[in-house]
Formats: sequence, C-alpha cells, structure tokens
Amino acid sequence: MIEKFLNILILFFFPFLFIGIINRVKAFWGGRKGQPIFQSFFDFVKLLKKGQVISKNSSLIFQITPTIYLVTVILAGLIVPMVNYQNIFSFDGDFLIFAYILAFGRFFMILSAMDTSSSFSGMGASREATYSALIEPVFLVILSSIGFLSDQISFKGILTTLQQNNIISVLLISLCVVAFSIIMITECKRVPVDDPNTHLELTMIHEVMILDNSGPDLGFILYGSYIKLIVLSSIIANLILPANLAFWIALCLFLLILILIAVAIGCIESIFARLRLIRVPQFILLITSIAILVLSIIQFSIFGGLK
Amino acid sequence: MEIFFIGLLIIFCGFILSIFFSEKIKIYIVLFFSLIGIVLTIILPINVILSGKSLNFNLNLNYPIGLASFEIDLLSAFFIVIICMIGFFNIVYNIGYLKEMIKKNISSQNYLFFYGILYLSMILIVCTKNAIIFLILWEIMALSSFFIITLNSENKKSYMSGIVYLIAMHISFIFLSGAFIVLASKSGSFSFDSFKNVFKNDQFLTNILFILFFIGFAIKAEFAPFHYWFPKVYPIAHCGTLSLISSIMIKIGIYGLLRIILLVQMPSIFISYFVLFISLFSCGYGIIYSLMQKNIKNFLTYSSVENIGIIGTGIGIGMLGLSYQNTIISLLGFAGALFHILNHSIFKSILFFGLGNIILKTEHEEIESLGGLTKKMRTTSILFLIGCISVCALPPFNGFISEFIIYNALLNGMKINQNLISIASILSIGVLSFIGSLAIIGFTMLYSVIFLGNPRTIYKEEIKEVNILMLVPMFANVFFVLFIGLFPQFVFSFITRISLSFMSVHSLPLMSYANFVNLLKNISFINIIFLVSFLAIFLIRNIILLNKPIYKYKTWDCGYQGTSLKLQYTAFSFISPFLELIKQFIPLKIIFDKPKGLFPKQSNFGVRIRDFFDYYIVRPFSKFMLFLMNLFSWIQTGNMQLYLLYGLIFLFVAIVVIVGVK
Repeated sequence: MIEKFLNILILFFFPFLFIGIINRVKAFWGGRKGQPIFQSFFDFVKLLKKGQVISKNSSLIFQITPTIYLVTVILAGLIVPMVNYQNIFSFDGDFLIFAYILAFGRFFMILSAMDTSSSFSGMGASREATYSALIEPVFLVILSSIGFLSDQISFKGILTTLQQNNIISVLLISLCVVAFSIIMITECKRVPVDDPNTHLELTMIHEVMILDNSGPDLGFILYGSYIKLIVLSSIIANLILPANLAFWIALCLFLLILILIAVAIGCIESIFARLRLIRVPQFILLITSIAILVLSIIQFSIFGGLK
Repeated sequence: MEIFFIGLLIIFCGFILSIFFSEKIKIYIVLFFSLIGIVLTIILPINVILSGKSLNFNLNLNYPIGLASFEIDLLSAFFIVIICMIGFFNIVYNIGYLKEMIKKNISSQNYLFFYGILYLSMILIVCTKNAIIFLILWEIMALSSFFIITLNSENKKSYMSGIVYLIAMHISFIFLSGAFIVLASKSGSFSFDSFKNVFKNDQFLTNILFILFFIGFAIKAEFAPFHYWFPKVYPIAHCGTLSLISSIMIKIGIYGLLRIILLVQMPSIFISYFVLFISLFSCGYGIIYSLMQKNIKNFLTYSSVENIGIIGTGIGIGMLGLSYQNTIISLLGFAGALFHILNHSIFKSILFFGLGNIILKTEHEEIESLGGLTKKMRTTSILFLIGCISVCALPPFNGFISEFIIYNALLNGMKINQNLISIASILSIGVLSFIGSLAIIGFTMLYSVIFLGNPRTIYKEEIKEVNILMLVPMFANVFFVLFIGLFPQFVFSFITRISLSFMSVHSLPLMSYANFVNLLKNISFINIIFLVSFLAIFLIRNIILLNKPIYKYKTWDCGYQGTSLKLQYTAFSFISPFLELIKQFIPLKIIFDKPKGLFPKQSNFGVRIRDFFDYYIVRPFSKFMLFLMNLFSWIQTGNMQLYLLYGLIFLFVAIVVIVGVK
C-alpha cells in the first residue's frame, strides 16, 4: 500500500526535481550557476495563472488536447512499475495498454498541431508520428520476448523475473537498458533526437507542435512531458534494480537511479549536438536491431537454436 | 424459425414496394417495413446466442439441391445480428442520403430494390447449410452489389470498373464452386454436415481444398494479394453503398472462412500458418497503401484491408490453437477475430457515413482539396473523430478491446513451448503494433487534412450539416463504440460462447476464462478512469480559465506575413517523412519539373502511386492472356449456331475421354 502511495507522490512531484537536476547539470557544463532547482515548478504555477491566446484557425481539438495529453501520461504512470516493482494497476498484458494509452496522447498532440494550420506544426507532427511508429513495435517486441522467457505477461512480472543472476539475464538487461534509453530519448524528444531548447522551428519536433499553446494548456503539456520522462526512466530503473531488496533500500536505490538518469541526460545534452533530421531514423532504427537481438538470444537460450 | 422468415419476407416486401411508389414516399415505406422486419428477424438469432441452442429449418427439394437446410447456429446468429443491426443503420443512412438526392433532383432508380436483395442474400447466406444454395446466394449477392455499385455510373470508365468488380467476384465464385464440387463428389451430398467426414479422412485434400476456399473467400474479404479489384471499383460507388459493402459484405467472406474452419475442425499446422502469414501481410500492405491514397474512399477501403488482416490474424492464431490443441489460445484468437468483426463493422460504418456527409456537401473526393470542415459540420466532425480513434485501436474505445484480445492470444501463444509458434507470435505482436502506429499516422493525416485547419479550395456552396436521418445512424454506432469500449466484459461473454463452438471441447479450463474476464474488467476500469479524469481535469482547466483573458489571434507564423491557405501542410507532406524511410519498397513515382532559369514559367509536381499487385501482376497476366486468346480469335465467327456446335463437340470429346479412361 505504502509503495502505491509513494508511486503517486513520485509521479506527481518528482518530475520537477528531475528537470531541475537536468538543468543544473547543463548549467554546470556551461559554467553557469543555473536556475533554481524547482524553477520548472514555478514556471508551471505561473503558466496556470495566465490567460490564453488561441489561434483563430483552431477548433475544439486544440483546447482539449493538453488535458488529454496530461491524463494519458498520468495513467501510463499508474500502470508502469515504480518503487519496489509495484504499480497501481497490474494485470496480464498491461504493457499493451501502457503503450496504447501513450499513443492516444500522441494521436491528439498530432491533431492539435495540425489544427493550427501552421506548416511548422505540421512538420513537427509528421516527424513525431513517423518516429513514434518506429518505436512502438520495438517496445512491445522486447517486452513480450522477455515475457516469453519468464512466462509472465504483466509489466511487473516481466521486470522482476528478468533479475535472475545468470549470464543471459545480464546480457538481456544491458541490451534492454540501451533500447529503453533510446526509447525514452525519442519519446521525450531529448538530445540527440530533438533539442528542447532549440529556437529554429524548421528543426524542432516536440516544441514546434506546441508553438501555439499558451497559458494553462502549455503548462499541462510541459508537466505531461516531465511526467513522461519519469515514467519511461522508471522502466530503466527497474531493469537495473535487483529484485528482493528491503523496501527502504529499494526506494532509495530507485530514486538514486532516477537522479543518475537525470544527470546522464544532462551530460548528454551538454556534450552532444542534436542529430541531423536525416540521421534521426537511423538512430531510432538501432533499437529494432536490439529487439531482434533480444528475441534471438531468448530463442537460443530456451531452444538452443532452431529445431 | 417461421418468425425469422416472416421477418425476412416483410423486409423483402418493403424493398419490392419501393419500385412502385414515387421517390418521396418510397423511402418511408422502406424505412417502415425494414424496421418491423428487422425486429422480427433479429429475435431468434439473439435467442440462439443467449440460449446456445441452434435452430433448424429443412426443405426437401428436387434432385440437384437435395435437402435444403437452413440452420441458425451460434456463428450464423452472430453474423445475422451484425447484419441486422449495423445493416439497419446503413438502411437509415441510405434513406437519408436518398432524401438529399431528391432535393438535388437525382433519381434513385431502383437502388433500394437491389439494396434489399443484397441485404437479404447476406442474411440467407450465413444461415444456409447447403452448398448449392450457398453458391446461388453468393451469386445473387455479387450481382446485386454490382448493380448498386454501378447504378449512377454515367461514363464508360466507371462502367468498366463495374465490370472489373463482376469479374473479380466470379473468379471468387470459380474457386468456391470448384472446391464445393470436389467436396460434393467425395461425400455424395451437398449438405455441409456431410463435408466433415471428407475433411476428417484426407489431410492432404483438406489442405488443398482449404487453400481453394481461402482464395475464394479472400477475394470477397479483400485479403491483400486478392484485393486488386477494389481500388478501381470503390470510387464509382457512393458512400452509403460503400458502407454496406465495407462494413458488412466483406465480412461474409470472413464468415465463409470461419464456416470452413468449423467444418475442418482440426486444421493442419501448415494452413494455420498460411492464414496467419497472409493476414499479417494483408495488415501491412493495406495500411501502407492507405497512407498513400489521394481518394478518401480508397483510403478507407485500404484500411479495411488492414482490418481484415487483423481479423485474419486472430483467426490464424485461433487455428494454431486448434492445431496445437491449446484451448485458451484458440478461444482468445477466435474471440478476438469475432470481436474485431463486430467492431470493424461498427466503426467502419461511422467512417463511411462521415465520408458520405463530406462528399455530399463538398463534392470533393480528393483528400488534398478538403480542409477546415470542423467549423462547418461540427457534429459530423466529432462523430468521425470517434470513429478514427476507434479504428486506430486506441483506448478507451472499442477498437482497442478486440486488438487487446488478439494480442493476449498471441502472448498466450508464445507460452506453448515450441519455437516456431513463439517466434511467429512475437513477430505478429511486432507487426500488429507497427501497423497500429501506422494507422495513427494515416488517420491523424486523414482527420486533420479533412477537418482541421482551413479549406484548401473554395467550396462551391455554403456547407451545412446534413439531415438528421444521416446523423442518427452515426450516433447509434458511436453509442456502441462507447459501450463496448467501456464495458467489454458483457459483450465478451457472448462472444466466447460463439468462439467455443470452434473447439471440440465445450467447456474451458474455468480458471483461465475467469482470469480473462477479470482482465477485461481491469481494462474497463482503466477506460472509465480515463474518461472521468479527463472530464475532471478539463473542468478544472476551464475553472482556472474562467476569469482569465482569452484572445483569438492568428497562428504563429515566425514573422512571415505572406501566409496563405496554400502554405498549410498537405496530406502528402504529412506522410513523406515516413515514405522516405520505405521508398525502396513501394512503387511510388514522384514527377517533379523544377522551375528553371531566371524567369521560370512552368513547373510541376505530382505523385503517382500504383497498386503493386494490380500493376505488376494482374495487368501483365491479363495482357498475356489477351495475347494468348488472340491466337485463337480465328475461331470466333460471331455465329451463335457455330458456338453451340463447338460446345457440343467439347462435351462429346469430354464424355469420350472420361468413358475411355474408365
């Protein structure tokens, strides 16, 4: 019970800290002092207090999308295992609804971007749609092949039974960490796929889709994308975290890994440039090969090759 | 059983009477009769589903047909309920459509009559148990649909497209009749029940016959390599017709397939993988081609190919369950397939109704020339959006539920400790989710280009919402979308009964079934939470914004003042990042004359997409056949008596050869 409560707390409040850490790390690399660690929270509150500017071309879709996006991300957060592998909703095949709920949010983000009839938003929308189409199958293939290994088809079961302390599970875990990092970077549109701080509309992906949002709507979308970072990094954290730990150790390690992921994101954003748009699909397609590798490792470990 | 036939008779009367009355009266006559008739018809099938007991009606006919038996078993009842329910909405929509036509002074001719024939033939096909009657009804279905498709075709081109349809349907007929004849000669009777023995005894023959049946039904059901006919045919029909064809008629092909599986009982592993493979191919092919279509009708029909593929995947995994003798997989596989049949007919009719409204009002079918309709047709746009979400299989609507069941069948499929099926099911999961996300690209493109933003052309007249008769069926379908999406467990319990009839065991491991119902309850819980929390947060947002200033201003244009409507993102530019990735694999030709010199005059940009199977396989083949046949053209004299002589000579030779062989 306490894990579930903690999950909700982490889900709602940790994102601000997470973004703060990323920004501090970037400031460190840039030799700056950096903004306050909870600046993103203050920004969120400030955005809630503001009024709105709405495009004349837009329709109802433009206004409901930020809410839908936030709700889908929060629901995905309730399905993903967090502290001590616990999640609020757990059942067989829950990772399917996880993927599809995130897709629902994306569906509306794309519509809302097209709703403003701006060609910039259209560019962002089409790129987002394409890149996500490359990710989703890989996500499901990796999870279901691990599910095949462990005979478990719930998110929790898949992640816990991966911790088996033998060479195959170490191999799988390391491959999965790489794959899920790329998935996280692409889904949350961080460097090197997209730069959240860029100011050139032609090369943006996520930011350009929300060019016309303002006020509370913008706040919802930003908050949603912060939560999405936490949701996807907690999958990575649970891949690394050993099973059967005492509760408090598990909690502390979980938070520590999240903070380490934030630091890593900050470092990557400071020392890498974003990829050219032509190169982005190649970067994402890397995980397709990882997925095939995972599948073949599992097939070999169970059957010892084709019979 | 009598009440069922009385219902059919009343529906038939309505459509017959429509010939004799004037345009304005006949639509109400048809509406009245079909309402009463359908209520009478649907009672018995619903009773069959609830009680699980099948109903019989036998008629002893003369020699070639033999015992003409009609039986409403669970599978037939399921299809009859779909045809009656969704079909009734289609009738109402078509009546609304004809009402708009009357306003425009376009005669409907005998449209309703042929529509009724098609409708009745579909209901009778799913309950007949006799091969000859099945084939006769199959032919009636093909002919009547040919008439309603080509009804308003005024030029030679659309007439020729109709002929293409007729030829395709007869190719299907040849395959089916061939397979039925072999079966009948082996079993000595045309009744379906007698075929069971043939299937049981000869494994090799079963495989060959199954493939023949599969091709015959696949041409009807639009499985991918056999779909070549529809991109030409569908653009000439109007959306009311297309809705009936796409949401119900192609499912009759699936019905045929399911009926054959019921007769085969134990499909071999080879044909199960064959069905699974063709279905997955069909999914991918359909969705990739649907992205590239310029005509919105063809967009939706290619998406039907994708959805038929999803249904086929469910059937394939169900058959694998039968072959490997694993009840839970075959239960979930068939249940997923049946559920998707229901769901697809619900949301496909919403989409085609919406499209019909758009085409009726704007008179544009090209996707690139639409835009900004959400401000003018608000109701249609919201209903169409729900259809789009549902067809993309996103929660909380019904499309997700059936895909979730199929996914679960696949996830259970990999639990069988056999490496071929585990690889097959994991790869199928990959393919299904890939086409799911491609569907998101496609339908966001479709919706946003049609409804959002600003118009891309100047419409002829002021666009208004359509009449209420055209909107009511959309609302009814949306109700089902929401109901199935939010409370899937109720519908699922009925569908499992039908799915159980595919298995020789009639009871399940109770645990796994209860588990799965619990699972669906979880899904329904999450879906409800989703809707409620969306409404709550949206309410909070509106309260926050209550006393805040809200300005309407133009879209951010980066300071570039010369924006025009032409600068909006188009459908092709929306999908081009994706097409860029797969351009090696698709026959896509871009025609681009760049502007040249200091004073450029003419420049040109165009995209041409050809259906691979149509252009590179069917056409060369038919050209070759034409060449071959031309070699024998000297036989043709145009003299009827001579032709009769040829026929007699052929018969004589055939008899001599057969007798000689014996």
